Amino acid sequence: MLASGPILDVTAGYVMLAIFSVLWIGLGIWWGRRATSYDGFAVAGRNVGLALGTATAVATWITSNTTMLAPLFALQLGVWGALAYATASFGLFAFAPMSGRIRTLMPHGYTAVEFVRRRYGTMATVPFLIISLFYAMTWLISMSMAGGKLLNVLSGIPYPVGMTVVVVVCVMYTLFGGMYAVIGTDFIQSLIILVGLVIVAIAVLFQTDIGDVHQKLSADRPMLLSIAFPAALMALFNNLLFGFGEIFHSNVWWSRAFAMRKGVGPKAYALGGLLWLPVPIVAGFLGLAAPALGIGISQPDTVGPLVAATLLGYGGALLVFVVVFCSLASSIDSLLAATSDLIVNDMVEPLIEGEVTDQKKRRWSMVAIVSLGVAAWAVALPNVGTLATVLFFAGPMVGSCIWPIVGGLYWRRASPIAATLAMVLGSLFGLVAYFAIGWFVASLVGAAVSGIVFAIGNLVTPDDFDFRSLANPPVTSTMTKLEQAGA
Amino acid sequence: MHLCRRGIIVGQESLAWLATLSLGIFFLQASPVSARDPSVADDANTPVSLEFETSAFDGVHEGYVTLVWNKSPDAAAYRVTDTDGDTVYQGEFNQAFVSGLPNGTHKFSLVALNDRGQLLDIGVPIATVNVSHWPMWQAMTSLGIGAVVFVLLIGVIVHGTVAASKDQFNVGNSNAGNSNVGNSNAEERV
Repeated sequence: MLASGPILDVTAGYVMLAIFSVLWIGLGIWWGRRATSYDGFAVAGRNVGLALGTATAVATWITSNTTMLAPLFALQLGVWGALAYATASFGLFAFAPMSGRIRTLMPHGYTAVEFVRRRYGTMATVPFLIISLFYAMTWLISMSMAGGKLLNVLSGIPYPVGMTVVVVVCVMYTLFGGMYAVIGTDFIQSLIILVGLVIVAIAVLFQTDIGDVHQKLSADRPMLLSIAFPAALMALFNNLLFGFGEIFHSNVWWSRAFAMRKGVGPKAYALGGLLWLPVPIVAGFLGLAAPALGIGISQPDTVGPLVAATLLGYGGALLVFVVVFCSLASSIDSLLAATSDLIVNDMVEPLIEGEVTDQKKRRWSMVAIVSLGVAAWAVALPNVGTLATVLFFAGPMVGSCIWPIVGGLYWRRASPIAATLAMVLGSLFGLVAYFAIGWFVASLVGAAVSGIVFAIGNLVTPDDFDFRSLANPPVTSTMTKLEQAGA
Repeated sequence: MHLCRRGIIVGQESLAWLATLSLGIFFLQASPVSARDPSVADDANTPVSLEFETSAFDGVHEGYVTLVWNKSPDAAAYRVTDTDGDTVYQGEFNQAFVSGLPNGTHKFSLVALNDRGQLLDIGVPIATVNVSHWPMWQAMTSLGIGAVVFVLLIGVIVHGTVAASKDQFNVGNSNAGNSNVGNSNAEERV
């Protein structure tokens, strides 16, 4: 049995952290020069092409959760667990045509909440906004925790220090550069991540004998290879629907749909899904390899980086450090930017009387980014729970949003009452399932109940929505005043 | 007597104390307690303070469990073994994650080791994990419901996308020119 402990020394960890911190903040400042307007800051001028669009989709979806949760799934739920995690790519495939529909329906749109507000009204906006903010925070917290855990496991840097530095760096370069910095750094990060994962995969395959892994697992951990692993089977569609819910509702993906040039979205998301699909399978193999290779695991969400670093030695640990740092940063920045858009456009601006200037909105965005960072840091600091338990708590809620979003985009009869009830009841039943059974069924229950309620609700109280109304620019206080003045 | 080049002078009285101290150390080393194979510490005199925070796990439905124990002051590493003597964890953290366990009762023992690999502490009592996986009918029901929801969703998206592409009223064109207009409108709003 290989002893479990940090691979890198603390000094190397701090040096790497310092180098990446300076680099990423510098990139944020450099790209931020292009964000001369609020549109530039929030949606990168709505002109992102296929290469950057694909890169940002891949980089954003390869989160620290991919590199750390996929191996965790495999370690907990075996082969089915790794496959279950890979089904999250289906969300990108399914969102591909939806992104085109979104861009067509709302050429002036900014956020998912704006769509729900204009499609369903205030009644449905309230639960949707609550769910969106809650999910954004749990994702942000889970990744902040991942940063601290990773740095601690790889280099011995104390959890509070590592977590704080990761959060502060991401907040700073998002502050300076907005969506330009987010997408620009995503491009670099996606290249690093994909190259790094290929190197790790090849190196691990050379160092391990798959037959040996299979034999040891069969002897010591037989359920990890079992086809009839009940919890794993229950997790399969649960994770798929959780991925659907995450992508369909989250402003992280809607903001990209708005940012991409018309016609680019469907291709970018489809390509992104294809590139992402093998990543959790490779990462999952690391989780299965741990018990077979005799690597002792204390915290299951660190099994992936720990196995790679243990097998590949010092160089491997450095590579893993870089890959996971990039995956963390690429997701934290997206969340910060998208959630600040949501707060500014859908919470603050509607409450303000009078003119809302570009400068004001940008300032509010900055305040929102800093506040989100501080809140995530505060909750992540105690390091309670694994990444899976933190993130999947939001599962039933995001699962309940699937049908209202899909129905709202394509079906004029989808009504506000049906959408509201679907989200509320889907979330409630999903949370009951979360506590009564487990995280691995909560999203499934949330989505299933939401679907049934949505269907019945639309039969009882159908709407007749005019999709053309979504194409009009949103009414702002300034426009209302101009209209009143007869301009 | 000069003990070193810097001229520390040791008197006869000091020598006597030094000799007494040396004899004391010698006798201590020579005592039965110390006269053992140096590679093995004395089990009988090893203080048993190490223990799992929870030693009984019932109703484990997923086949995995996290064993946590208190830290031992001088421990450099901990080792957890199963009843077959196989090591399931060895490392410096006071926590071990064990997974892939089939139905049944599984027992785990814990020891603390010093930096030379010698036994320091033995964890008492051993941890007992009773695994009882979820029934297959429940798993297959979840699988079935999930498949239905998935197929319905894909059907709605595909149908909606095809229908939207045939729609005579093209919302994008009604804004007179695609993304450039979107960009300029966005700028003008500012």
